[in-house]
Amino acid sequence: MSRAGQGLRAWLWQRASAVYLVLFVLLQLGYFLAGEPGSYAEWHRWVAHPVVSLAFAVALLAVLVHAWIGVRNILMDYVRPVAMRLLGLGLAAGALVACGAWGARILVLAGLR
Amino acid sequence: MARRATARPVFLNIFRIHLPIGAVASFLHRISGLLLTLTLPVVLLLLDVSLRGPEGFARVQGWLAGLPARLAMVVIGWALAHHALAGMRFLLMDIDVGASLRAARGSAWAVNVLGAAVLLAVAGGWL
Repeated sequence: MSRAGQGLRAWLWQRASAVYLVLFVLLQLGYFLAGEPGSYAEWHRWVAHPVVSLAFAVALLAVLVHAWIGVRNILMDYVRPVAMRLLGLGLAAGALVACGAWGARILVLAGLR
Repeated sequence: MARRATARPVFLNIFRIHLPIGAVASFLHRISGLLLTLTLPVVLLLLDVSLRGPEGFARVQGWLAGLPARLAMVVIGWALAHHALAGMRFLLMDIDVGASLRAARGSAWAVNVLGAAVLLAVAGGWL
């Protein structure tokens, strides 16, 4: 992809993930504000529900994509020395990948319980 | 890109630089975003422990009832609200809604004020 195209792709992914996340957060906040969950059983039933579980998984992916682009933007804008910037990008990428793996584990184990 | 010493004046007193209101909204958007990214591992931990079983669920309830957690939730509540509101402002401006200077300044004020309002609402309701 051309260099200019890369910027456009990041911009699109950031917007798309943002739109999904606003909807997801609103729905999940509504769930909590309605007084749920009252017990472990209710909470587990919610998160392990096939559709909700999928929504959580997509939300996790969306957060990782959105956070990556955001942190990358910040590093590109404010960290000029190349070595520092690469270190920052590497740490951020590593942390986000680790969070993704952890989140996947949480959802899979919850589904299996 | 090396920075060479020049005779140009440097003016970096942020308390005296007049920032446009849109810049404030934008800075806070980035700061809130960074803050939210840092809370991701914590959210995952809460999710993990709360789903392990009734004991884990009760443990998380205990954590969330404590004062440090409630203070943190006030800050995170603000961060989430400001980031989402400022983000929606940017999304609308992307499609040329509210892109005029007057409208942009108005929406920047609205976003900042609403963010502060959410902060107060969460603090009032939670603490």
